[in-house]
Amino acid sequence: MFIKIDHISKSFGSQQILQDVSLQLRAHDTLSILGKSGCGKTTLLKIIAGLLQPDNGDIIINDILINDTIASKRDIVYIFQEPLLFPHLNVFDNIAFGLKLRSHKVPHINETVSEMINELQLNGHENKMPDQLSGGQKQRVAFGRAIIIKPKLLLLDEPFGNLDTETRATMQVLFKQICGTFGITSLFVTHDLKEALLMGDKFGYMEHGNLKIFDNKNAFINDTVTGVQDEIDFWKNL
Amino acid sequence: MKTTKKGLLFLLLGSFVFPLLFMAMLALAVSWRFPGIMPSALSFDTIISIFSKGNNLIIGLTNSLIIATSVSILAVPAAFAISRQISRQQNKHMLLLCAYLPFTLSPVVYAACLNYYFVLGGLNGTLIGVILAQLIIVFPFNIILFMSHWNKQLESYSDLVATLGGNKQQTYFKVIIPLSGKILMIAFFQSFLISWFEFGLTKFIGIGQVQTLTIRVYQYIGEANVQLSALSSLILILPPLFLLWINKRIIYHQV
Repeated sequence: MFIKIDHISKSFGSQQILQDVSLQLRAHDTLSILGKSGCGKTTLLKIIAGLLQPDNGDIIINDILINDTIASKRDIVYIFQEPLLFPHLNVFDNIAFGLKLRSHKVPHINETVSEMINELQLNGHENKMPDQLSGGQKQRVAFGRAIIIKPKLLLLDEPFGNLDTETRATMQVLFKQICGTFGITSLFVTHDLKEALLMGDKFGYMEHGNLKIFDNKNAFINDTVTGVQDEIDFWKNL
Repeated sequence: MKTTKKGLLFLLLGSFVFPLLFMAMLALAVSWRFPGIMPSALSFDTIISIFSKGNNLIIGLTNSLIIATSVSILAVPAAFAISRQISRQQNKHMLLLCAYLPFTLSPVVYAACLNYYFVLGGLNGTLIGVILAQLIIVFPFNIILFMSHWNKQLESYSDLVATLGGNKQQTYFKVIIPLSGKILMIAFFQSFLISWFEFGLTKFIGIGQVQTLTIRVYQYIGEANVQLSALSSLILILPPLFLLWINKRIIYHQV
């Protein structure tokens, strides 16, 4: 297994946020985690990213324990619900940010960023500032900025939560396409049932800090806790 | 309506410009006796004389510039970094309350309380002593100013840079500082002005040996030296005018 999370627990004061969470994921797969707001999804992602320390448990990537590795050395990128583009940088520089942090040579940066802009269908927007972009375009830049450094793992925290339905659908397709092209391994958390089904290769459901991983899509669909059956019944009886 | 607005604008402008012109006239007037509306003669001698070697006004101006610049350069970055740490603490409200303490007393009373330690450290009457004393006022002022700046979004930016592979220095210099440019500039201006106009604390700790421009102005007024009082007052308000102009040119246009 490429990533292995073993018995992670986390409390804030007396409040238990994560309870003995474990999961495994193969390289180039996407694990969709469905869960309501406040169920502990974000805390789990932040622990994996190294932004929070777990109370117990291990995080293993490629058979290496990374519990004590600081966030900047983990090679795991966290994508927030907000695109969080750097407002003082244009599209090109936002995407090039990670490469510049790593002191890549200018010709390499120019070439790689141009390819990424092409891949993200952002041609012609290179010199625009973030406030000149639409919500969907901003999120594409955020993806480009994350993917360009070829992270081992991509953590997506409801990245399409702020987009309208149409843009959201377009972004879901684009994300799947980019995942395929770049061979990305990712954890995708969402509270949207349809999105969870669309984005994942593997599926999980999180409630009150407990994560349940399903063997396959059918198991996810057939389990009553996920709400898929309720949704199917709703549309059937309409 | 338009005429009234224009009239009010002129009145406002006049009330601002008139004292400056009046002081300029006082600085240049050789003799201006009642009931003469205008001075009988104007001369640049007073202005020229301040450039002579060892002139007290130039010494005061130099000291003021050194103190105000040093205080701003030391207080702003320190308060910026420390306020960020305070904002992450659970007892941040208590720490912020501590920052308000220096403002509960008059600076002179405050200086009197601290004087013992300054004497002990041999800092009385030295430029460093005055800079340290002013830092005790300016530093907490900046802490209070910056505390409102730190928010969840800036923390998210920091987290993002960390996951993109950036270390703490890169986070500061490539993201946090560029995003905080406006407030840093305001903090620098404010710190400079607080230090520039500071009188009581400077006089007490400086024990008359550190002569700043503000102290000189009071001294010239006390000596009834009209020309030098007017000239030093004009010089005293030059930095605020310059900063006001910068503020209008840079900060106002960024909004």
